[in-house]
Amino acid sequence: MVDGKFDYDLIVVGASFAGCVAGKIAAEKGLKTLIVERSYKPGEKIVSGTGLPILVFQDFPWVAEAPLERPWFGVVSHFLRDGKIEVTVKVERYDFPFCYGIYCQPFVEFLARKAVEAGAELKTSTVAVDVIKEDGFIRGIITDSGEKFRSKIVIAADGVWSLIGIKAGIRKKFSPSDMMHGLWLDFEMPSEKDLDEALGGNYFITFWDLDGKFVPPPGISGYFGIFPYKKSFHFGIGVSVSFLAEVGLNFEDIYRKFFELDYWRKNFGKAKLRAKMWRPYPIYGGLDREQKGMDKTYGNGILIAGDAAGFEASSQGDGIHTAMLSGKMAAEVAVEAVSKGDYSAGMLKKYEELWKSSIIARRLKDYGRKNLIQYAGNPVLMKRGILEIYSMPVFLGLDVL
Amino acid sequence: MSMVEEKILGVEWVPGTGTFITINSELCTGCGRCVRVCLGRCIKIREGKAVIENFETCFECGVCWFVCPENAIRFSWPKGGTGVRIMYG
Repeated sequence: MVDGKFDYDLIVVGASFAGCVAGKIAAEKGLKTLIVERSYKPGEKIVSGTGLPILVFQDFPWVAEAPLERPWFGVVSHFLRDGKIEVTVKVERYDFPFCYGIYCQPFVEFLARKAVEAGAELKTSTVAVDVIKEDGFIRGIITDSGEKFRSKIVIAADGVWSLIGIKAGIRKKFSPSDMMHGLWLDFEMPSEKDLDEALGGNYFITFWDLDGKFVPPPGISGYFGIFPYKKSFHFGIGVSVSFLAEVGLNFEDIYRKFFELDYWRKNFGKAKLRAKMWRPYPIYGGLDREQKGMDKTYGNGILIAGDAAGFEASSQGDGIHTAMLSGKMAAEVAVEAVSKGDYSAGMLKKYEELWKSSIIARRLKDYGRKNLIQYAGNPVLMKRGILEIYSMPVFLGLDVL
Repeated sequence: MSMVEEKILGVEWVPGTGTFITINSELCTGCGRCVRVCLGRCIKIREGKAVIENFETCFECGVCWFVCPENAIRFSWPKGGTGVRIMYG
């Protein structure tokens, strides 16, 4: 299938949510596929408090075999005033969880294994440092050891930074105002039962600060969230990168104050801190592609997917479903392009048409989280705004394509 | 309550990364944005310019690069298989 001019039909840069799905689907459809991943083990560079939305299972039923930690049936939102919980609101569905808590590393390793089982070749500990450009086409990649791999199509699935998307000239560096930076802590409870009791049910727990005693207003900061796993959980908050850069923030002071709350001592006093980590993620850019320095998600011989393409779902803070779905769409268009022998932007444009008419665009249109900033200082509006977000059909997994 | 303090738990750093972030001191105005966003406290201002003091607590998050208004920071990835390994991400 691959002639002398090419080593592969498709090269995917980045073995994470978008890249592994793209690699799996392309390989299943017969493309000779290479995935390059800079880490030693797929997933070990990822940081997040992660819930896998139920929509993922609709689109990718095989994910049910993945290592899942705990189902979440609802969201408990605690509103804090003067360092105390003033009111608690629960949004819940009873039939089915809206999310499953997962650890990114084992989950992504599962996705990578699925891609390899489908026939994709995976090179780990390999950085794609540049693209091969010829006659206005992207024709492969150059690795950090100087190897050149030629391919008909490249899919850049290399995260919010997308150094490959930038090298290929299809996007620029994202603006700090389009991103959040999250500091996450991982805690372990003595037993699963201890965590069950502390949570009071299988809930994802968020905290909103009504009087600004702990954190900058919502919209600038996200929520404190407890992302429960089997017997452990992630706890953290994301803050606008431009706010961090201009004003600065001591996350550790915030957390320290939080851990002095009666609520924390009573429920999570037994929790043992196991890890501390941070990562930026795209948010707030919405569908404004120009603001993202990216007027399109394709070019001659290249497609861009996942966080690299800025596919956030702002109000829910979720990028996994959109990443996986965009990986699938990119692979399907690559398969068609290879079968037609046409790798031009004119052909690959189909990818952008696909995602723009899909749930990806619908989720990008929603600026719910950013809108929260207008509620700052008005507790009644804030509570209403947050309830609106957590009652959204798409959040609860009720949206269908 | 056991707390964060200085120690970064739950990660390992594999050496051999190479110098994957550089700051061009000609372009740097010493505004301090990169210092404020660096949660690994890798960057300091010395004589009015940002300087990378260590890579040992760098998470490769690239936020210094995102926020530099002068484009004085060059950001690339550490050598494949090196750098931060996150155990509970």
